[in-house]
Amino acid sequence: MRRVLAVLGFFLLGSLCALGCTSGDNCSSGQHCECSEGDQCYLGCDDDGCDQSCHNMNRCGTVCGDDCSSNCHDVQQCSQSCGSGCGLECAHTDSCGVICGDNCRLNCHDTKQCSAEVGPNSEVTCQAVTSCTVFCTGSCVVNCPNKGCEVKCAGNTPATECGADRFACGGCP
Amino acid sequence: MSQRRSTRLSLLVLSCFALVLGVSARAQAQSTIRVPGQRPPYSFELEPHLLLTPFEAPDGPSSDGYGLGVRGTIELAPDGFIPKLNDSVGIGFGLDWIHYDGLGGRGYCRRFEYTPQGVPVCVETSAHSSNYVFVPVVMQWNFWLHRQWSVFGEPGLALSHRSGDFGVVPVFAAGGRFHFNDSVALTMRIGYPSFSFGVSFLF
Repeated sequence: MRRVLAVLGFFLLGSLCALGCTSGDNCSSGQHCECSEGDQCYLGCDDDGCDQSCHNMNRCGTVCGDDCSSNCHDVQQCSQSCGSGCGLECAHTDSCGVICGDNCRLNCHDTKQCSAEVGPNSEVTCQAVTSCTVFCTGSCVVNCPNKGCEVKCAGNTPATECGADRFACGGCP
Repeated sequence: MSQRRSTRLSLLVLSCFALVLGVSARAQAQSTIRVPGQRPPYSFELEPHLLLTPFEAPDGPSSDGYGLGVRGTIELAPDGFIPKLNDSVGIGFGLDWIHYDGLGGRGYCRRFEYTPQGVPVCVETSAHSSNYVFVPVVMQWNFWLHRQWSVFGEPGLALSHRSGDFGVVPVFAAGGRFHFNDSVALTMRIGYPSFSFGVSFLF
């Protein structure tokens, strides 16, 4: 019986220590966070307004709330997800996957595959890409100066061609 | 490895050396290492322990970690590998939980969503913290140095699990016990993936 009590006491003591320990550094609002070199890394922002950068890795990604900026370059597989009002750039990658909310500004260039799902009032630019596929959940504009773009609107309806290598959902601007 | 981690690791290693040096003089006079069989009789060791690790999580950037666990070791060869030495060999199974703090907002991807074209997009990371469960299986080679002291080496493998993923990691550790009596000992272990400090109950 004494042994059983000793084991239980030991675990209780350990639990109290674990709860009392503090957490490490974090990527907070307004701060610059960066990942580079190595195999894979995914950056998470504590809240909104982070400035995130991912580069020179095999797989790298950024996750953020609203009003964030993210730059991903020289990565084989890059991913960026963000809430509303974000500014994203993805360049020199094999594939770039993006999911962002409304008022998103995405610049995808010098990339083999760019695939994005963007919210209302967003603007996407795809330049020097092998393929660029954009799905707009609301009104959006897609600039595609070097061709290779496929743009779909909510309900899987095709986008309107606005001329000058520009597509739009919800009417041309 | 950060400066904080290096300092912590150095202090731990120095403490171990001091402990070993402190007891070695007295231990020499009562050594049992050349008397096979002179040790606490037991067939099973149960060892709950606290865990600390200065190492990163197995598959993602992280800060150091802490946790809890338990190890059960079954004695397989009471006479060990070396006939003239007081050694023994057992097989150990464990269950360890380790919580790793985040490191500068970096981590592994905990959850992917996919664009309509099937390109993965990470939407949740372990940037703030991550939890791992390890199931180690090790060979424990014991050397019974003294009536109150024994040391051991433990090579092996561990199955590691975190949210959404499994893996296998190497396990290697060196440890020591201070025996209060034939049934209870304090046990400390230094190695990878974690260091431990616990109590052994010998049955």
